[in-house]
Amino acid sequence: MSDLCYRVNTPEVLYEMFDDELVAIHLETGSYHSLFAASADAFVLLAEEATVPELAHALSQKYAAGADQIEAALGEFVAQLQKENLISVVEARKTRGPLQVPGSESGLPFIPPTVAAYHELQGLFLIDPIHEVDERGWPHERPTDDDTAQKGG
Amino acid sequence: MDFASLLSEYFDEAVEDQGLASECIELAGRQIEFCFAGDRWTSLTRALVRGALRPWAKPDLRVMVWDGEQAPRNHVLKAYLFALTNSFLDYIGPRGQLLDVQAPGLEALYVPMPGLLFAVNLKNNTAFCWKRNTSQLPYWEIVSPFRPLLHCWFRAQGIQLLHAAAVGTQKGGLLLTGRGGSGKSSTAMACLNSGLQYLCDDFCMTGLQEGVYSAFGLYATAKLEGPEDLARFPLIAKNVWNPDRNGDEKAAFFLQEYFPESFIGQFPVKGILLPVVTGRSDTYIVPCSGSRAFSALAPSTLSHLPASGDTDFRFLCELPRAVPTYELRLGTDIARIPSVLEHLLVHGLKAVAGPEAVAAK
Repeated sequence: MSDLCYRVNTPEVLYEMFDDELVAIHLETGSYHSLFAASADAFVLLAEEATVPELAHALSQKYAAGADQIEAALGEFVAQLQKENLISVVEARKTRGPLQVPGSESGLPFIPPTVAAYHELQGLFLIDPIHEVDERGWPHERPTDDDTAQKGG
Repeated sequence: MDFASLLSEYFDEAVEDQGLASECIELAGRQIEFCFAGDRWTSLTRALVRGALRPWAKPDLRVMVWDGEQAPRNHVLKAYLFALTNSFLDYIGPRGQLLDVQAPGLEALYVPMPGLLFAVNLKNNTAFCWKRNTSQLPYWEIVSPFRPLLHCWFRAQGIQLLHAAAVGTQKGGLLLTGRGGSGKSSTAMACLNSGLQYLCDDFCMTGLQEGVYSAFGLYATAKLEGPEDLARFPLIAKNVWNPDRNGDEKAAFFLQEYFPESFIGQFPVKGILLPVVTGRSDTYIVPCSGSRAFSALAPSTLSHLPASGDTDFRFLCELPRAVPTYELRLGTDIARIPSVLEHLLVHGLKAVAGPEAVAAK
């Protein structure tokens, strides 16, 4: 697993840094996510495409933890990002320079990365054929009381 | 022939058969001509906000509205629309975008419920709203019509639709944003008979004009949910449009018809407020981070706009950075809410406002 390379699922996933918080939105699932500190840095690095060891090495330049410790903590984080469909495995890697962790600080306390996920808007994002149909199922439309008149006016 | 041309031809056929009705409405300073084949859907413009009338020039956007009572003569379009409406899962993406209809400058999507096809041709500023049949529309399409279509076209004009209520004066106003039930509609309604004017309760438009973000009215309607809300606003409640509504349907109001003097067409945006119900009696305001305002504004806005994407996202990132953002801690004494908002507007938005500074005592 550690040799797998991952990337952020753009263009479906859009993200932005606000001060120390990264907010990511998946336009095709309707979920949105909040990441701080090492989580946010790791996400930004994943946008460049990265393996877990590469992420761990880059983060160890900024956070007060060894690459091994960080790598151990990243496994669950990467799995969570995959589960949320925010990242996926890269089949053919692009050429890029060494990963540069955002910011110039070093020795910051390392908190194992996590992602807060919010799914309450999913029903609004996606089309919902179920509620259009009656008990016969799709594609039969649910009948209306008045098939010709428009309400209001 | 391209898709937009085929739709235009189909609309002309419908007009030939049913006659033409049209109405011109100005939204965010743009003149929009709504053209209908027949009169079945002409009442849809009732929900759009009405401003001062100006002499009409060539419209900035022409919207053609009709339905599938008669099939198109063009066999290719006829076959496509039949397939689209009967097997839509094969023809549209997860958010309704038409998979087989892609052309530069053309935005097209299909909303299966209630069977509406929207298309906007940005190259010649024409738009299409076609309903698959003549059955009635759900209440939300009647109180906030043409939303995907207006979103696509105004976005190309640099004006963004926002899921937010808005109140203020000519000098400046406030956007109220948050998910359903957060209190933004109730706050906006509470301002109807106050020193503040009402721009919208649910969706407005915002654009950057000469370096300043301005909010523009879009819908002149309002919605209230549940008997408690209706009891709270008895003056409004007596004008409910859908008294015989279903259980899951909100009470809707064509508000501008009853409170025309309370409406305002636009104002500079002086702040974004996130209403939070506290259970305390007093209302007060505290600053909040741009990321909180973004998280309240962006996901709900994007979710309501099926054609939304990167351009919308970037706009929504910039807005909370450009204007102050606050949490509006809503008290139970609704009558006092407008004075708190007025206080915030009058006594300067640059200063950090806290409970002591702006609480209504």
